[in-house]
Amino acid sequence: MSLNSQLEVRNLSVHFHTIDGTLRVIQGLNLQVSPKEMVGIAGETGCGKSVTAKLVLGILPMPPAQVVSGSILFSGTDLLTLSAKDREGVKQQIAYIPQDPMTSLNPTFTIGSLLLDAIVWRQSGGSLIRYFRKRHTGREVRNAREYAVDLLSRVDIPAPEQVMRRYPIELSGGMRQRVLMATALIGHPKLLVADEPTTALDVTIQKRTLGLLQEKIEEEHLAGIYITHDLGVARNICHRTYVMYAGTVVESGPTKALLDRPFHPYTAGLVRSIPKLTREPYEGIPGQVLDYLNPPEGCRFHPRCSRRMAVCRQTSAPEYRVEKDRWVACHLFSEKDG
Amino acid sequence: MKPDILEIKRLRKYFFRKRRIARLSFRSKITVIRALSECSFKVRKGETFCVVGESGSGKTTLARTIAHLYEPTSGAIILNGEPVSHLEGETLKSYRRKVQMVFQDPSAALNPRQTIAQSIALPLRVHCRLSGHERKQRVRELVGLVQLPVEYMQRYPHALSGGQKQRVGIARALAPEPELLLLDEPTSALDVSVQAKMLELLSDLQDRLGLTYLLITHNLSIVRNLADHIAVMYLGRIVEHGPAEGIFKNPLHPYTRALLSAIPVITEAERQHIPEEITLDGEIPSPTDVQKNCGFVTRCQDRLPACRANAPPELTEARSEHWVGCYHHGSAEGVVV
Repeated sequence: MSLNSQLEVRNLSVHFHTIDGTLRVIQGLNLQVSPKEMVGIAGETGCGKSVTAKLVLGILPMPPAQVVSGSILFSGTDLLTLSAKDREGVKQQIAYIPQDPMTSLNPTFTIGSLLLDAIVWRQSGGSLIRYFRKRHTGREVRNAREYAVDLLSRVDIPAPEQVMRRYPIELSGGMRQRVLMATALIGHPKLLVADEPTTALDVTIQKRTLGLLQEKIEEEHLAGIYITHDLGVARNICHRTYVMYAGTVVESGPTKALLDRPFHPYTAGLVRSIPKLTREPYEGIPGQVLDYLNPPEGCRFHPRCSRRMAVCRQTSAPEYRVEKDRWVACHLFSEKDG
Repeated sequence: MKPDILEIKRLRKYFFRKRRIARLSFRSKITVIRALSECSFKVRKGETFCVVGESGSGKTTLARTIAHLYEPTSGAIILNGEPVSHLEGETLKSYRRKVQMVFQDPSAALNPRQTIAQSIALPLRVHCRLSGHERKQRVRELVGLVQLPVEYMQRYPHALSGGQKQRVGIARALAPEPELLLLDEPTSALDVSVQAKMLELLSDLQDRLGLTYLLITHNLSIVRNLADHIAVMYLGRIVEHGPAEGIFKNPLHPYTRALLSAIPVITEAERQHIPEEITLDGEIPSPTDVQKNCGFVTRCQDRLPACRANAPPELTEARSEHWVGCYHHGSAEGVVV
């Protein structure tokens, strides 16, 4: 794929070992993110989007998880083969915005002390002694405080000096999410992973938060991954979107084109099941989400697919290039491959 | 015109919190949280009345007050023309039989130690005099009504998916044959492909049983598809209410316009149906602050000096049946609460 991608996931497969047996969760996943680009991973509950994110962040517990095949290239180095110490260094360049702003901030610390801790820890390079020394040196703390105030004002927080003295419960949900965004921006990260950061927010606040996030991606030359189950939000913020079903990417492409004209039967079904303002009829997708213990042979979507063919039962489809930048993993498009 | 099934008049619900002024002090002060103030509207029989608004705007408090899970601070709730207040004992029981509620989180609403059949049978034990055999028959009927397989009756909630649990929640609410169903975000915990089937079931049940729905949601796309009437809430007040068509085609209150413009649309065709983009800045005031003026003034784009100086505006009928509380549309000065 392209040379300038910040993150590239190639043919990734992840299994989970449990008492009941081996869950084959991620199956042959390919993903690519460039700087200044926001890429969406969309899918329903249990499709493997959070597993992918956690793996990139290096916080997926292994065991039970096991990477069976594939690689995750971050600035050209494979994260999966790095030593623990080097991995720790790379982690500093990957920022994370969690889902729930209500529970992600420690309620017993002020916003200021939370930010200062994070900034000073980042500067002390993993050494606890250096951290304590810096945390109690007036000059260092003053510098860190200035940086913290600067970060808060960069995420549109009014009166950052006063907010530094407040506790998380004194802030609204939208403000807390912006504080989390500020902590994510500490130390110029290269990749930002946002795990549904706006699900707990209301639409008007959500819109503002998304706008701000987009601005930061541009300004800081970040590569962004945005995990969501809300296709409307994906349309709002993501340049490109990967639609996942049961651990595989079924379709990818520029978000607007993908939603206006979905190719894969699953994407089409998903778009159809959302109630629309145009009041066109909506219907769900029949059938149940698959059981990872015994995934079906062939295409993982075929038991629920209305357009399945004989071949779908036997082999899973490779990714066909249907149009410029649009890839679909479905046998229906085998002859259209350009 | 269909008769009104429910009318609420100037409904208020305040919560009081007593707090010591300092850790070891005996003196305390009382903070008042104005969860609902001056809410009035009418719901017609057989229609779907939607309440929309942000979290913390009082939507759930409204539903819970109507269900009589909370005693209203003041104001009146009128069901089928009869005012109901200070309900106790038998009268409360007969009221609850007519008004049932479906809760937001189906996993938390079901007792994990009761089978599905037991959960659905409980309201029948409380409200209906049935023999054991009749009750079993009725439970079976209800399970069929919400399109669940009969073999699920003996299972426990943990063995069901989110969508199936919500179906049990609906079956349980339908057990005493209510007239009004209060649905508090019934699909917000579900995936979109499951949500579509749930909404289908709800419309189907409404047609078959002639139910009236009071639907609380923050998803405006669902509202567009189901609602006959809409009420928009902001900081415990209804700022606009009226027919769905009118609100979507011609929103009057600036908050409603901002809300509609922020709907995350999926397709290009939908974009034509929402007003031009409005981004709100400013922060939402806390519900513990005394509201001396219109609560939206901190974020409003076309605020007047009068909006800041005067008491919260009263709702006025700007168009036929379309009520709005905004000085731009000739609202009179309201009551300071």
